[in-house]
Amino acid sequence: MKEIFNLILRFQSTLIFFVLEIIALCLIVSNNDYQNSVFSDKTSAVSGFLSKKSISIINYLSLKNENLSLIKENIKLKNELDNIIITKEDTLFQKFNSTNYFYRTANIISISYNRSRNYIIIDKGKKDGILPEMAVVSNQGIVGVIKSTSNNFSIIIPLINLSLKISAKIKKNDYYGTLQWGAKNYRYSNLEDIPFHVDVNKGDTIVTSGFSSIFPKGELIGFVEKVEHKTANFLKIKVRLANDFKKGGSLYVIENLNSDEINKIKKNNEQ
Amino acid sequence: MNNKFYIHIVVLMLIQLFILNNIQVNHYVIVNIYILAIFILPFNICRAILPIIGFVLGLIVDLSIGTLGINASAATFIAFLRPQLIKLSINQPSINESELKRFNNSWSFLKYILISILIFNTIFVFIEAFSFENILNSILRIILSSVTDTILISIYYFIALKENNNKF
Repeated sequence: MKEIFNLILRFQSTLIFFVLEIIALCLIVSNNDYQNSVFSDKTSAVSGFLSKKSISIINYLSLKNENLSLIKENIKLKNELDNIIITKEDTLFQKFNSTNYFYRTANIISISYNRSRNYIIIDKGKKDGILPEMAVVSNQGIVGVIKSTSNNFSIIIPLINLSLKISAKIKKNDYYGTLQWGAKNYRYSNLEDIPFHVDVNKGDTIVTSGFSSIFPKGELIGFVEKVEHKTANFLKIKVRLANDFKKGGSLYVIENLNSDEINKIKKNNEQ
Repeated sequence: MNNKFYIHIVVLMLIQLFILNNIQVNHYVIVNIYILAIFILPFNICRAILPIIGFVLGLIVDLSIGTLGINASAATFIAFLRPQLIKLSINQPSINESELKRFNNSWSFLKYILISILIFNTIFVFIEAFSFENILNSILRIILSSVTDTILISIYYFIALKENNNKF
């Protein structure tokens, strides 16, 4: 301790000198604009260089984590991509207005079109989540409704079946009626219960009304072919079906995700 | 001169503050006579006080011309180096009384002043420039300032101090 004190005493003038010089330099840098600017220029260059280096080092050190997160993201994206492909091949998920519909693809196994009660059989059944009363559409227009299902197959009642009645409307003025096949030609069906005062012309579009829980609203059914005054109050409209039943291709089975809820309400109402 | 050094310090500071600081010769010549106050300090003064005196004198001059720290750092430096510079100028490792008397009157004092002024102006100019760019310009400033300072300090020394010293 004594030696340290002696050392300080011996070099006290040097010590004082350095302290005073540092004070003087601080005063110079803090109080003289020119020296200050030069000093801050130099120091900012040095600090910029140092921070650049340190950032590059930190970046290098965090490359491993970066890699891991990129791999994770890659896997996630790949999964999503797979899902998208599967969805495209198999099912499509669409939002329709406020109601959710789930789309599944199916292929026709057998089809009849020359009887009064025609049926279509498709290659998807209970295993694929298909249940009775689901709607079936093609890319041309609506096809029909699922009647019954087995494990791997389903039977569709198509529009060209006398026992199927669908609520349909004229797209341009929202008048709705019932669509029922006339059992004559697989290309044409009949729209009934449209009041006689309604303005209907050839070529008008007929779409689903959306009043049932089966079909989404606004699915294309067909086009007006001929308008007849069948009775005093109602028109009989001949509709050319949009879907050509002789034309093959994949079908989409539409599941209304809210149908359970709707049916429940209906049941409650009946009780 | 040893007894009246504080009077000369005051006089030198007054000359510096009120006359020389108001004279702008040109860009190359900086006139600083107050550093003579450091040269005429007593030889037996405590070594630790020397840098403090230099710092205070430099700071006062700085405050009057608004270059805070520049004169202070240069003056502190030559005040701190004073004992070494005296030893260097008389070529003696230790100084005794008789040698000091001779030093006051001799050529070696001028040598000491010259070296000190040169160091002072070197520090002063480089701190003012704050870079080594335009180094020729800086060297020219150092030389011209040193010559001017030496002349002025010699004049003051021979008028006010030398005679006094002879009497002493």
